Amino acid sequence: MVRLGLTGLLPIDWASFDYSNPKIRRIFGEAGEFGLGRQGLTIPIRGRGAEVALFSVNSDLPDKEWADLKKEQMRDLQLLAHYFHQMVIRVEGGQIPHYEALLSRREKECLQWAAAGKTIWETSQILKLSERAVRLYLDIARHKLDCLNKTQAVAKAVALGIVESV
Amino acid sequence: MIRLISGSHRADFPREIAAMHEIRKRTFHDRLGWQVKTLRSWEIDEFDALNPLYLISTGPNDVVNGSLRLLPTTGPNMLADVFPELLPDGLRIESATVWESSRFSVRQEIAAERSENLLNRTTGELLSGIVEVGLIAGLTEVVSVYDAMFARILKRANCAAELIGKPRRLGDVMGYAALFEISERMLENLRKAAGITEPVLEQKSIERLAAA
Repeated sequence: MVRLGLTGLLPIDWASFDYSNPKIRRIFGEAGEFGLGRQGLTIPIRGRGAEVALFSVNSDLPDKEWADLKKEQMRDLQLLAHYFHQMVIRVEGGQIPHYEALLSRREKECLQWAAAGKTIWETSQILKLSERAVRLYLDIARHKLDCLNKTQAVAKAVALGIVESV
Repeated sequence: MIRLISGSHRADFPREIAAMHEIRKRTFHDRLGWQVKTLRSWEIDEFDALNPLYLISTGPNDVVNGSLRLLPTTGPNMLADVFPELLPDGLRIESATVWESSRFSVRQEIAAERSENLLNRTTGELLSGIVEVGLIAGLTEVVSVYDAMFARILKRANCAAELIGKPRRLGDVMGYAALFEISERMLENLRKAAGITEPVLEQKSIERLAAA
């Protein structure tokens, strides 16, 4: 699984493993004794420096609920996985990125209007962009600022002086 | 049908991988005359070394009809590292839920086949395949750089492309950078345009990559 995760791109569902294989049954059996749930998902991560990482989540939900959860939450799980990875990189590397330099003009503009309390739709009207574009630029800004959500990203941008507080 | 092959498994699928690189060379180097690297009868570049996810369209008797590759925008990709000039003001698309599609190519003999108002079958499969993969992986968008000819194909596919920045000349070619929504609605539009009535991703591929 680790090899598949470190070299692949698609999320890996532990349910896909061959549980008729006694080795696999033993691993998950032992893991179960330590509280590991029956359901699991591993999300591969590729980073800025072409580094690779894995993020796994675990659950005890029954199969149907798990399948539904996966479908609804996969986007959020991707965001969470990448956020976690960036935090780890920060802690390990000890280097704080030069955030301002990472952001483009568009991203700063979208952040600035968000800081001013404008909705995505309002920002799209002001900047003459589509809502999708505004949403994407805010998401990119959030990702580059190592934040988990937009509110956090705006607050950080203000704190760093990248945008003016309004 | 679309077979998913992880770049790291290329040694397990020598036939498909070889056919893919050959079709890519015939398309991008021989036919379109683009500045791409070739190695004998293959077109292959440094992004293939990053273990992309390849979508390989196969026909009867497992013949390879076309392919494309996907890379996450959080890592190295063509738009950020080869065509940054296409994006305005230093914009860099970098998001956990956006992947990039590149090297979309279809075998020449197949490319011309098209019934009535429908999109070419292989093209339709590849485009649908991207969305099916995107839905599994939780993506919001796929980004891609393409030329005017492909822009026309996208129109015929009813595949809404949202341009990022303005199209620009890249050498002899007009380059477009655009976003494509990953959604059930997009999938429906593509299927209808191509006359596809069921999922195109090979079930065995999904199981092999444990994406079920």
